[in-house]
Amino acid sequence: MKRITIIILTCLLTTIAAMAQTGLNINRLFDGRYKKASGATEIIVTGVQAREIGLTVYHSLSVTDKNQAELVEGLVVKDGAKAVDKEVEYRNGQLYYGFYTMPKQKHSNRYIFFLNQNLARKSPKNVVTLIYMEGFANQDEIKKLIRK
Amino acid sequence: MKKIVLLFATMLAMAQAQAAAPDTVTVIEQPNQVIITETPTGSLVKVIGSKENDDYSYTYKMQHSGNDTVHTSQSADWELNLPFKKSSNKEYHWSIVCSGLYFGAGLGTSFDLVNNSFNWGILNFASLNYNTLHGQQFSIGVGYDNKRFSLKRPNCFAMDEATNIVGIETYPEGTVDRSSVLSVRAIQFPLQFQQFLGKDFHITLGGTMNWNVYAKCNTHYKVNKTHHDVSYRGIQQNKLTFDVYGALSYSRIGIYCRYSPCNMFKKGYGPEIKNTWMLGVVIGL
Repeated sequence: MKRITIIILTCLLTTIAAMAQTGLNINRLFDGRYKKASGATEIIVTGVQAREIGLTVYHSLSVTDKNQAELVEGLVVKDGAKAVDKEVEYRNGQLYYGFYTMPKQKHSNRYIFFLNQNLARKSPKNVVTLIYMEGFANQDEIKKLIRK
Repeated sequence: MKKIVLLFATMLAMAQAQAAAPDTVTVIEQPNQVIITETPTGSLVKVIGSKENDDYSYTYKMQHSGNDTVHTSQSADWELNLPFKKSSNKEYHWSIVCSGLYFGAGLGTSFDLVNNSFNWGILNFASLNYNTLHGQQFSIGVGYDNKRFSLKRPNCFAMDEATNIVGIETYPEGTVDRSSVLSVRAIQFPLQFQQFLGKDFHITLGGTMNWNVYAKCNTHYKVNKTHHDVSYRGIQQNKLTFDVYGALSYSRIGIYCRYSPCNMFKKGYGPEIKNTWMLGVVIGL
């Protein structure tokens, strides 16, 4: 009986941990708050168009408001701590770019990309971009997609 | 003794300085490829190929805890390519649009004999919009409006064709399938303000000037198995009336309320049908 209880408890804890891992902090940003906000551009692509590039979900958000940019960076860094793989660059103590591979969800790869173009050396722009991508594309394919 | 202490202190300082100085682990001239990978438990630097040997490979593994922050730097900027960014995505202050198909039913009017009323139209066949790009939009446009008022039985509209005065009569004895309707069609000129509330919600407030270009009374009844359909034209409707309206929309669908304070007929040419309230659904506002 004791053994069964331990097994059940272990299963429960594993399930709870797995569920907790699926939630991302950046989801807060994709609740529609930026759809009509000035200084923000949100692009959501699913379906055929997304599948054409190996994704099931493509969600990008570009903000020019400084306060919003700090919020975006904070949430990205929080999620980045849970990444299974990451490539980040800091400039002047601020996150310049981050490419995070998040734990898989339902066999689907998940990526978060963050870029603060204020910190670009050549031609800085007042834009912070966040992209969330989900699908079967691998890291290299994703990088090709979002890099000129 | 003092000299010995000084000597030890100097040696200690030298040892510390030596420990803090970075050590070169290896130098690989002209590598073909350098791959840096990172996991929550460590980082791995893998070098493939060198100046003299294409098959050369070197790996350098560092262990670190999950809370460590990895700082990297590179000389090149990330040239971002947003795959689905449309050039037409840019917002403009000025635009011309077609908007606001609506259908509504009457909530009440000043004339007690009105049984029910119905309203439909297109608020803007075309409107010139000015968007502040901060959540507000002003517009002026031209559209179409149709209002219909039907009377409570046994009352019906009847017009004296000599004077064009519309009065209220009762249907002849023994009639069935009865209806009597006043229909007023207008070209409307709405002036409106929209405020975006976030999460796809927005409110619209506005007023319209209605140029009532056409009005018709139609009385229909059946007596002794014979249909009678009487239409009265040349009705003296008020050519210009004014309405105010408000709407709450989510995405492209919403509910609207419209108030018409003006009388439908010119004074002395028909019953006073005014202070009409309409409530309905509006699409694409």
